[in-house]
Amino acid sequence: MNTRPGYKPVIAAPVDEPVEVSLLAKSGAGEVYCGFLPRQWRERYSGYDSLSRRQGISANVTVLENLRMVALEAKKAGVSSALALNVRYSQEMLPEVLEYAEVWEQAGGQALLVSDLGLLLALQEKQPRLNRFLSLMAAAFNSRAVGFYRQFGISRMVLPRSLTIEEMHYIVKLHEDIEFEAMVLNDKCPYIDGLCNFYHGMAFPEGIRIPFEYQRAASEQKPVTYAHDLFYAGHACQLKFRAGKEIINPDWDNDFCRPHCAACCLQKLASAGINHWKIGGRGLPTEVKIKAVKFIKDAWNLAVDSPEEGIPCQEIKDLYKDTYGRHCSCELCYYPEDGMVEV
Amino acid sequence: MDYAYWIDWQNTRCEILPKARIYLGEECCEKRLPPPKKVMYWANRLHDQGNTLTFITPFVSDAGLIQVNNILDALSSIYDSYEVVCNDWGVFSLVIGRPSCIPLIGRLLSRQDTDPRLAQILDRPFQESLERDVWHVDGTPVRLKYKPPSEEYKTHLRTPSIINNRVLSYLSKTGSHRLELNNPLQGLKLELIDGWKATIYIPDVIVSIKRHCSTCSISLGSLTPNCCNLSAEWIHPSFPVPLHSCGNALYYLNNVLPDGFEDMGIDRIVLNMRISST
Repeated sequence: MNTRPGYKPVIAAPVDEPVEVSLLAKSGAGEVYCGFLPRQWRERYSGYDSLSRRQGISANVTVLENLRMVALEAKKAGVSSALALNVRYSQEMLPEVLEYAEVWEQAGGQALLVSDLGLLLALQEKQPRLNRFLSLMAAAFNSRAVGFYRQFGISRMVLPRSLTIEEMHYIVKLHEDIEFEAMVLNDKCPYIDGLCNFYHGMAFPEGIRIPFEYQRAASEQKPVTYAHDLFYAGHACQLKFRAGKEIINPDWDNDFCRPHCAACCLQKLASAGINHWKIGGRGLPTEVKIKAVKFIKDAWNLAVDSPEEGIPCQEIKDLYKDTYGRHCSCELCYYPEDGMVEV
Repeated sequence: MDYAYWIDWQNTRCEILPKARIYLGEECCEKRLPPPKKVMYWANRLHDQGNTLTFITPFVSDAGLIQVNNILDALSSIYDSYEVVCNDWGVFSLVIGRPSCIPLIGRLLSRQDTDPRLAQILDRPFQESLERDVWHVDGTPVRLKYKPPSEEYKTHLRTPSIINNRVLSYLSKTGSHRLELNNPLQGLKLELIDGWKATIYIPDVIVSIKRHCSTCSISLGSLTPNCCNLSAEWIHPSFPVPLHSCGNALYYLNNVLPDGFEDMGIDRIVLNMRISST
């Protein structure tokens, strides 16, 4: 296990507002990441997942000044910061995407999470000071694919969540001079991120109060809100499909009160050379994010303090139960082949 | 227009049109790649009949890369030149180093949203019929109205992201000149640079790949090559068409070719003979 003196894994936590940065840093995050979805982009390309993989105003920073503030607050708190520009773009979108990257760089942001080949090539030409992290949206499943992306200046790779830790370890061994990051909490989608062509829209469920932007129009009696898809019922991973007489739910149980978790695997991830641990959950309430960071930090401390080599799985399961009020289960395990042991 | 036929490598009794271009292989699951014996059987048979060959490869783990490499060795012993559809940049980098292989950019690398609901975004009368009151979290009743997508957004929805001058120029240097594309319900808009051509697949459109194979209900690591032949139809009222779950992949079917497809540089249609409605 990689527990040499001074070894400290970095927990990367999601932020949606500048105020969250210092709170998460104090809780144990060593890095923050965010998305950006400004009005001018929403006007042209929708508020769906067209600029990063998370849709809507509550899961993204929406004002340029706040984006600058996130970078500034991160600097003040002594943590690094990354901006997710991690979806596919059409050629016409790229100049604007590059503008946002430039704003981020000028504000002191340190990295971009990217997956689009066109954007990587454009960044290669511009040579910004920003680090380029390969998002799991890039779907690099093997060491050669990582090698392919490295020619575009990648300094860190977020490993796809469909890989086993053994597969990750093999990749890491062949690319020891870059950093690696893996998902450790929340958002374990049943689909493979980089190969999923479903879109993330905005649902307006019947009779349920939800956040969205609206405006008053002189011609309308009521305030108005606009959307491209009024029939959108939810993300495909959350819908229940009918297959003959059966109801199929694509295994998705995205409950942040009982999150998907890799806490039992932290030792193995560290041993595999994966030292950056990502917590999903842009758009979640601040207190839930803080709880998540603390949980992972405490789970790691349990693993480090364990006198025996191996996984202190029961203690970490107890910590999960104490933190979230419910037991974890195999279905919630991020890397079931590597971590979850029935005890 | 060039027609090609994607056949099921497991069905050795299927009839093959002599001299036609044949697609063989798998794009979504490395566990379903044909074993070397089957590869040799097909390569010999197709070569003897004068068929040109396009071998389809899936996204792969490092173990799968070795398997693909072995298959390419076998094919290269029979074909002096053949196409390889790459759905993984690792496979792509393997293929471009092989003189007998012509790399094609597969559907999983071309990257385009294919969610069938995207077509509904463009259907103005349908959307306007759904305008209604909704509740904001602050308690305000708000009129939800349809906003037609901008031309830029329509272009984004209809254009695979690989169609970018920088990307295509870069790929040209590796010897690639062909894109393999889905035929999504929202339509296609392609502006290819000189030297590039595109292939469109009929009738299957890939929508997503699952981490687990729903046919087997077990993890991908435990699949066997024969486990994914069943196809279940998934229906949801908010989807304009049913999805077809086949192994670890989700598809829908679209037999209607996009308007003006020949003018967009599409000069090949792949008929997926593994799907009964083709």
